Amino acid sequence: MRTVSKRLEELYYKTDRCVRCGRCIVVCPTYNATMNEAMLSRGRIRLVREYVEGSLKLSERLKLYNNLCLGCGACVERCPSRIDTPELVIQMKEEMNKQEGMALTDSLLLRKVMTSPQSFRRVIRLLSLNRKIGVTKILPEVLKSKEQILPEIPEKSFRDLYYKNEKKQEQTSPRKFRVGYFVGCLTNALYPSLAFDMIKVLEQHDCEVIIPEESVCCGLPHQAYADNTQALQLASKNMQAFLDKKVDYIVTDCGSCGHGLKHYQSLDWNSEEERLRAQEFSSKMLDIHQFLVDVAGLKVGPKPIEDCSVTYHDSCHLSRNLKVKSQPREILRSIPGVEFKEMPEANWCCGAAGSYSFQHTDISQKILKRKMDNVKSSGAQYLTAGCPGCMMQLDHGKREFSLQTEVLHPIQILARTF
Amino acid sequence: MKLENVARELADSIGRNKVSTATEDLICYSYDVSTYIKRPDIVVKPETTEDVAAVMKIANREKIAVTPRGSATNNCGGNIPLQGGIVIDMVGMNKILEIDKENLIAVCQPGVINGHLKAEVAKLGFFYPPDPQAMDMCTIGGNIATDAGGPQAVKYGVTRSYVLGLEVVLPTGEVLRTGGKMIKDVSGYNLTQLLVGSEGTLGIVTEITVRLIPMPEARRTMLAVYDDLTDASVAVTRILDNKVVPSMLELLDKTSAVLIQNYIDSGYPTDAEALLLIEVDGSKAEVDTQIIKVRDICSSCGAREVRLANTPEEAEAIWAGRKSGFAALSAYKPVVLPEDCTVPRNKLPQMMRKVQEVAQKYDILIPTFGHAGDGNAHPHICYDPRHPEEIEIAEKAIQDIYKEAIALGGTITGEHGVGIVKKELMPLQHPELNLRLMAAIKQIFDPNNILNPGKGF
Repeated sequence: MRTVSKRLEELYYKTDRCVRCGRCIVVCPTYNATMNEAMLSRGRIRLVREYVEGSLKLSERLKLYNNLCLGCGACVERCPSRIDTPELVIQMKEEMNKQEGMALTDSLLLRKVMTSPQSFRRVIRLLSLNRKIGVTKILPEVLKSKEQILPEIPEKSFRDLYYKNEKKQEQTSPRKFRVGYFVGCLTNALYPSLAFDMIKVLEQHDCEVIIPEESVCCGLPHQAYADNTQALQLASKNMQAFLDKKVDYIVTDCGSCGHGLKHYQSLDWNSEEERLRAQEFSSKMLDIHQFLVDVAGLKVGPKPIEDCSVTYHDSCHLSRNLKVKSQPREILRSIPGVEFKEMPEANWCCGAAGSYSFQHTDISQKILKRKMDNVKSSGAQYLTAGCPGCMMQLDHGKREFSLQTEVLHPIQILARTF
Repeated sequence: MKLENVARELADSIGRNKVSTATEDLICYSYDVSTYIKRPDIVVKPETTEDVAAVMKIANREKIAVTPRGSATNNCGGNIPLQGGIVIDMVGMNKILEIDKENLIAVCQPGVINGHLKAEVAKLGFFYPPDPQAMDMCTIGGNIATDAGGPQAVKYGVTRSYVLGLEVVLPTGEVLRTGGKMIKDVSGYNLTQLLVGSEGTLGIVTEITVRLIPMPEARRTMLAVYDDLTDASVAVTRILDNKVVPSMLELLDKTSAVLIQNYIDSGYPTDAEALLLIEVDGSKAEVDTQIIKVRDICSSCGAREVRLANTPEEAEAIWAGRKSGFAALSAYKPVVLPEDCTVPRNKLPQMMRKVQEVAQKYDILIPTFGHAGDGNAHPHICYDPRHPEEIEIAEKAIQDIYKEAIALGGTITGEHGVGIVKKELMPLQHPELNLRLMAAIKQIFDPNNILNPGKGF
């Protein structure tokens, strides 16, 4: 046995209970895209076991196989022993970081780019400029396919519009809820109109909407890459930004950010005081659909919308980590004029998985194709998802596989009724 | 020739991306559901019959062991490359080639998942009945190798009953075609049926022709609760005596009902000695009469409660527990050995009693459930490998159980196969003459003993 972190050792002993039954075969997206056992939870678990037992070195291939897990969590639900393969994969990443340091590109990305919505935005914007002057056209094929994942990039980000150009209206009468809205990096840079729809819908639900300018990246990418120091720093900043404003609830439109924020309570805090604060923060955190349906009481506006059919894709973080499955569907079903059409395998990962679609484009594309085939078979005009990360990937899928379906967030459809 | 040269030759002949000798890949093809683990030297992933033939030709020339593998859900070690060599992974050949509506026949490749074939033929109103419990993940190729069966065997038989023809690559690399779309065919020895259940020791299946039947119009489910295991067993024989053949007739003992109920709420009472889960299918009128008949028989045999599912959802809830059986036990102990003794149907009560005696003798839990309708009991031996004394007891218990099964005129395996796990038990069941004939057949098919060596007998 090697000496490994306590957490990895703990998880290793849990994998004693992997009976290799293969039930994960049914649900593992990477296995179904590659038909390779090393891309299956059962295989990944075996590799970690051999590594911990000392019969396998920390090779490049081991790292690749480990990192090719999407972290979608479908196997956890399916596993008789509920073995948490995504968590095992993250702990292996931490082991790699410990042994060999973090890869330079990952570290740059995590420490310089993925820190705040605006620094992320600057990089995205740079790409958009390059597109305009045609630089992206001369990219090598490998990079071109990655570049194409990004949708058209809006001229101005949400923050540019909200803090700089628009005068925020002062609240006149007190509202029922004081709600902090966490605007994630993708919503800010790629979907500013979603953020304005969110504000509109929240206000219609008798909420005072607070969007702290000091809030930063939720830190989920850092959690996923096992960059604990950075994850803690970001969490502290966000906790301060929202808790200081004395909000009743913190809501987000992004399943992934939601998962990252909810996870603050389980981070490795240095003091009991910080841990309690994180607990307070996480307990106030709700996904927007959950907040509207379970807390505020869903309201649908009076404006009629043209008859349309809508399907819904379950974001992995939203449906499996935050357990929000019924609420988005309930919202869509309650809008007059909307015919809700459930697609097959709605909770099958779309292959976005954070930066996965950029890093492992070939496998991600195969997973995406399966998703788009299911979207097509539903026959719906609109494809909705409760996570901008998924929306970006689905929008790419729509272009790549020539679908007419328009990709939206459920809240954007609800906003049309007000 | 050195193994790395063999790997190179394989790559040159079928394609570099289909061959690997990377340690990480070898590790991922070193196991199945049994407790054995052994790394192969080379993993190949063929995409065509020609690929498979090319691999076998090279392996045969170099006398290198080849172990075929599907989803590796075998629990007898059938997929373990005991002598290293090559593991040939068939999951890439996973196309349904044809569904012939006029002849009620499907033709598919070996890597097709059983449940996928079922679903595709069901879309056209057809039924492919063989239903091993791993049907959502196991492959048709693997089903052929083990002659897999499941709960519906009582009415519909096992894989064997549906296979009409095969394309098989022999250990020599020659391609053999047997049978075809004919329902009747008595010309010569039936090589198709010899290959079904041969556990990948005679050839590698590359194409399969199966018979389909029309999908039954309706089905009904019921649950009968007994305070006495013998009463439940008597009910089983009584139902069949009364000329009702249920599509499923499953028996759960108290230990398994408790463990399952702890794992997933299936509404199973935890204080009853035995549960019978019964499904009848057929035309709507037929099903309604049959379920009442079965209910009355169950009651007359001493059932303390009989529950009829009134909706498909209620039926599903009753079956959900049974389907989670193996999962529930895995949650109880890290190692679960599903034993597979099968006895003549009327001997099942004796078999079940013996299992209970063995459990008492060694002071362990042996949750037992199984296909009562065809005399197939699955006593589950559960242990923690980190406690060596548990392993020792498990081995003794297994021996006791199989001795009884043979004494009752039964078999050491009804549907799982022999593999490595039951090899030593073979002489207990088969006279020397039978084993000699089997060895002679193996010799003709595989003169160099390279295909899945060390398995079966």
